[in-house]
Amino acid sequence: MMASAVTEKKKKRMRGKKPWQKRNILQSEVKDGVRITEYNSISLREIKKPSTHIYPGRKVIDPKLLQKYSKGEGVEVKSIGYKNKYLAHKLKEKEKAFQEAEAAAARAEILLTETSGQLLAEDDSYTSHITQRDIRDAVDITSAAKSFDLNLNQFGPYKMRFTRNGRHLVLGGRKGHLAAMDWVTKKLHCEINVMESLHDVCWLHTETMMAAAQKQWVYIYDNQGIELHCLKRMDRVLKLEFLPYHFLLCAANETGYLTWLDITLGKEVIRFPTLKGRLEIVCQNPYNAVLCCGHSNGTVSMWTPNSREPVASILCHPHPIKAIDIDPTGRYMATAGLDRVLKIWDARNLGECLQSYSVGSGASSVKFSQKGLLALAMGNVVEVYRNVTNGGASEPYMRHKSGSTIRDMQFCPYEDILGISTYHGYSSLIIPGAGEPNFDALEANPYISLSARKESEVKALLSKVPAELITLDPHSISQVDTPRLQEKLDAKISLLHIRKPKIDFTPRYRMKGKSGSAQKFKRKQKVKEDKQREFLQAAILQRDQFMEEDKKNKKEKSKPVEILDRFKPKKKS
Amino acid sequence: MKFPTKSVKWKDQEDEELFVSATPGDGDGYEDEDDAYMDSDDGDIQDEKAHAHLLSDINKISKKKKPVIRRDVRTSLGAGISKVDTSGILKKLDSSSLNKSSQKIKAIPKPHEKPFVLRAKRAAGFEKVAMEVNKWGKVVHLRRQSSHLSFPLEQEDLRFKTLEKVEPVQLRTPLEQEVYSLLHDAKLVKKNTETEEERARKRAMSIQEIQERNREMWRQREMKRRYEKKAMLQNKSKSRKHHRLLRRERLRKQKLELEQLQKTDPEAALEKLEELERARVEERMSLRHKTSKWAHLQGFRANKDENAMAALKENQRMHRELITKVGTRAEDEDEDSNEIEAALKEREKAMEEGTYDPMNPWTNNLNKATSQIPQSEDESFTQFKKFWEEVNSRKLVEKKIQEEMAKKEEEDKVIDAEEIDEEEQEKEKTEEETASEDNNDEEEETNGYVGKQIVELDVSRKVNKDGNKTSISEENKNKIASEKENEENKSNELISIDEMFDEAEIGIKKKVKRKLEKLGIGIESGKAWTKVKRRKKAKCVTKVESVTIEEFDFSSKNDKDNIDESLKRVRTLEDMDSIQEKSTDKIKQATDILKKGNAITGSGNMTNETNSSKSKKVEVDPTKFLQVPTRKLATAMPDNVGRSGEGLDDDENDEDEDAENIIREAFADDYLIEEFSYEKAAARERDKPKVVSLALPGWGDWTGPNIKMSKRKIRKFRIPAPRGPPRKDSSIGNVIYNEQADVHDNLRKAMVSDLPYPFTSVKDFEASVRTPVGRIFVTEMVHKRLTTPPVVTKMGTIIEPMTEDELVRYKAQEPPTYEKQKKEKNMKNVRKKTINKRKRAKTH
Repeated sequence: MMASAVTEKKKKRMRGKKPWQKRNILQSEVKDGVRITEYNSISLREIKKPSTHIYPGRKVIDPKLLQKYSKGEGVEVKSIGYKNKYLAHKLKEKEKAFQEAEAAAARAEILLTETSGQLLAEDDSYTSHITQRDIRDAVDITSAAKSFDLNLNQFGPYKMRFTRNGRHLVLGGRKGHLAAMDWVTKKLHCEINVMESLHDVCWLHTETMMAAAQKQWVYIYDNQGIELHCLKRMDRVLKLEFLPYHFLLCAANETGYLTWLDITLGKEVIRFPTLKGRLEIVCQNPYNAVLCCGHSNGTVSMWTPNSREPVASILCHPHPIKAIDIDPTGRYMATAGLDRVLKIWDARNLGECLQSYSVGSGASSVKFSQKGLLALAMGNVVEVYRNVTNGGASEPYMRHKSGSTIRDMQFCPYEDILGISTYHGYSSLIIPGAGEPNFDALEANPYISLSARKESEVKALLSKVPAELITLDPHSISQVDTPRLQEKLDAKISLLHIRKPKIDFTPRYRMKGKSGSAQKFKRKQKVKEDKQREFLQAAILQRDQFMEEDKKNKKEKSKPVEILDRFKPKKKS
Repeated sequence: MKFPTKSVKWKDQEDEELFVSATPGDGDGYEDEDDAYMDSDDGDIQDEKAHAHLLSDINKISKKKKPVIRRDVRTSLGAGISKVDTSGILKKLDSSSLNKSSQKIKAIPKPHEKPFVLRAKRAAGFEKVAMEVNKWGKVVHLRRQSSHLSFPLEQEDLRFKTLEKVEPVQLRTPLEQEVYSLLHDAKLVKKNTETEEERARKRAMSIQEIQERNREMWRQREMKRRYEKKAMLQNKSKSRKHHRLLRRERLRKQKLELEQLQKTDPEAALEKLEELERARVEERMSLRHKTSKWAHLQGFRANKDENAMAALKENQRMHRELITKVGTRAEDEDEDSNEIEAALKEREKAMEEGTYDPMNPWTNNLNKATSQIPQSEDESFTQFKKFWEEVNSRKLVEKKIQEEMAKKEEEDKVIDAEEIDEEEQEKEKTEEETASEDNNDEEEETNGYVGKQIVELDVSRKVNKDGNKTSISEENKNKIASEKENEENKSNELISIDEMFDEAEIGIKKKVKRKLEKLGIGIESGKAWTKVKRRKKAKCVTKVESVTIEEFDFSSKNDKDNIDESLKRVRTLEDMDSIQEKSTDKIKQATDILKKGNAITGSGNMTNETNSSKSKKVEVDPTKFLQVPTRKLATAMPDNVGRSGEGLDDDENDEDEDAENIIREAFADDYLIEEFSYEKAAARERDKPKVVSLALPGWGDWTGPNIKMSKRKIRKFRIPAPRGPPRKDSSIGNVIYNEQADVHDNLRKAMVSDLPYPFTSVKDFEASVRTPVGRIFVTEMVHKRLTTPPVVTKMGTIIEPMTEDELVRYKAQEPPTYEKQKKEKNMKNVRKKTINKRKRAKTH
């Protein structure tokens, strides 16, 4: 009924006008108050004369794919065209180039040849019932070799970390056992005991260096187990994170201190107390390099090295938070609370809860894979779920029970492997479809050679992002600081358009006929003019100074700095 | 000796000739003679004779030359007497040649003024140079436009060269020639033999035609002009009378149109009526009639002037009509209406006595009474009523015809249908009993018009009219009663409303059913109810109202909402098994939703009432996220957890909930939420701009220990805090966002704070830098293209200035339009200037 009302309203609007018709509509009729239209499956644009040429040009890009690489709307050149048509023309050309860039990126997808696999169960069975042994028996020998267990009974519980290219693994046992290895070839780099309690381990930018949070301080070792540094500014650290593009080592302290350390300079960027108690649940947002900490008051706070206050804090659970993770694209955040609820949040649109799941027994750790699978660790059980972000998950994709309680886990980048470290060792599980099948060799190359690694290290150092640029929105650097722009404009306007002040002056009464109306008026006028002249002179002086400064600045700016400038005589100021 | 010769010597005559049109007559001859006479003028008298001789000689030589005449003008003769033979001269004077010559000789035009000449010269020079320079226009244009330039410009053309022109084939063999001639003679290509003249003749029009066309064009122009003038005058007019007349005319026209439409297209007429109604509503909203200056003045005059009184009364009536909400039927008790009636009577009395003054505060109660007076008969409503009577009767006739036809064809089916109809009637009746709201729906449905409260009103009014008994207070009575009455009345009439109800009802139900089947909606979820808004017109459902859920608002008083409800009700008709179910459908739904609501909000451990009340606040509840429905994951239980043997625990909800409760109690989640909201409030307070007072102690009052500054003084010197933009997290309850920490000063230093030259909007500038150019972000080719420098110079080569050869490159192409225009414009200007100057010179 409502629908019919709507159509009637429409009719009313349409009265007297020629009914508008889309060109590619086959037919359209109103049935029971609902307009049913049949569209031509092919739009008119597509119905071109079939090209008779043998080579009909480049392949048309899928608009959806194009949308994926779209950078947003372009410049409205029209408004600029009035001012300077040459610049407008150049901008138009640039716009074209940008669009071509998008198209080129979309076309380059053809180079991503690999596709990720998955497990499919028969009708009467579940994928979660397939064990690691089943998989190992079914897959090829190299893949099977990737699934293995390490029994380390003495120095547990273990923490673990993969390198960014997923090739190397570092294990750190609570009782001081530190081991680094190439887990694919099973080649051990080093194995030492630091003779102290070990709380967390972390790779630095390459596999040659790793940081270990020991009982008192953080130490840096190379891959042969040689101690390189002892960072005494990072004390009693519970959790380590490394920001690869900023070359920052972040440490979260037992007493609630957060420390950022620039490893290229060996300089501490900032260190401050969060006043939020013990910091153990920490993860980084790979999208914007913001640290996210989970607290016992149910909030998740986000920190940057630029402020001593959290940039945002979100109340996620009405209970203490047990685990937190952000997916590699930076879109989703998963939190697990003591209330045995797992929540998926929109990590960019803060505060929007997308999904909420109740977990039988509370999850002690959550981790996203590159392809969006979510692993939950509950006691000695680890479960992997698919489609958690869109609410499609109800049953686990895979399940594994380990011998002892799981302490830490991580999906291996570019591999279908989930590594779990327990109280009594480490095991890697094959999770089909977990890792990104296509790797970007310039970004992270699992098969990198020594020379390439050196090269990439230099390049990464050259393109190091300064710590000041860490904010929630990483695009803010390409945005205009509008408040400051406004301020500048206002200042300019206020200087250029000064009005003389209104002066209200009542002359004093004087004797001897000196306060006649004419005399009074004259006196008044004189005072008025004097004051106004004074004001305007000052204002003009100020304005001139401003203009001069402006000119000076422009002049200075317009001269590009040349290499040979250093030999010029220095200016005497 | 004086001659009418030139007073100015032409120094640069050559130049002048360049620019000034050739002067009539020959100036040179005069000059020569002039000189000659000048000499003789100073000369001695002795030479007089010789001079005369010379003259005669000259005369002989050049007989056609006229200076002879001029000699007459000489006035002073020498002192010495010499005989000058004047007879010859006189003869000459008489001769026709003299006349002829005098005719030919004219005064030389006045030479142009110097500044003008110079200006003209400059203009011509500019033209010349402009031509010279403008030929580079295209080249410069292209240079400036191109995004990449590489120098030196001349680069060898390495392209593959082909022959530009193919020479015609030489016919060598006789066979070739023969074939060619055959082809040529066959005249496969028809030549266009029409000449240019013929074509022009074809195109030409006769004089009559042209005249006709001109006349037509003139007529159109004239009409347009008149129309525009009229429109302008009308727009200018401020006469109230004029506008009133216009309005009246417009109304009359509308009325006529409506009547016509009623006959031709009833549907459209209805729409038109609706539009009128909308206009009325709009006027009602504006309340212009009430607050106009005119009304104000009438109020003053009303005491003395009877006409003013009457006008005021009329205005009041109009106001009442307009301000009354359509469809408001105050469910007030009779007392209220009695009160109003009394007030009205009192007022009328006052009016009769002439003591009534609307501006008088003491008689305010009389005024108030008017605002409470319910709406009286409206013209539009009566129209509406008439209209519907017509429509109904027509429908009835149609229906009868259809029925007859149908009976003839298939009797059995008709019987079946009737049975169904009866059934449904029954159902409807039961519904009527249970919920009177349904009545409204049905009534509307009969009219085939959704959401039209006017219809109901109309019907009830009609009752009043027919009965002729009902007073205003009766009209205010309960709606159900009036409708029942209405039904009774109608049943007496030819058109039985009951029948119509059923008919329309069935039709609509079928439609809705079909639609719902198509859509396959499950509308029972609580969300569907959230849109229900509070409106007036509460009905008998008050029993259910005690169930206080925000989403399920039974106090809804709008018919549109009722229609929604009816939608749902009809949906349940799908299973026609139990009538009972339908009648109690709403209550059932209510309870359903209540249960669901409990389930949903239960996890938040908050009562529904507090939830709803909080959500109404501007500040968003931090517990909002708790309302996301929690789904159960089929997780396995770890071995080392206390409760062993608990696998997929779908059945053991109770235990689970118990455990949850224990945890909840242990950690006191309410406390956490509260703490968070305190924190947020604190942050908000901290970031708020502060109010500053510049009041100083001791100025204007006493100061010292234990003496507080007066509040008045503090207030006097207070500088109010500037109102900043709203906080970004103001709409999100569970987030504290610290913008200063996020977009901090160091970052702001790195950000751009000026808009570079061509950009005028921030959006445009940001769009221009939206694409990264590094090779990590874009493909290699694109990277190269985007980072090419605008100017590239080849090292080790001499970059020479452009030569005219460069022009040849662009010769083939048309010069850009703007250059051309500019040139033409320049030329025109120059021409115009010279012409103007000439004109001015002539006038001098």
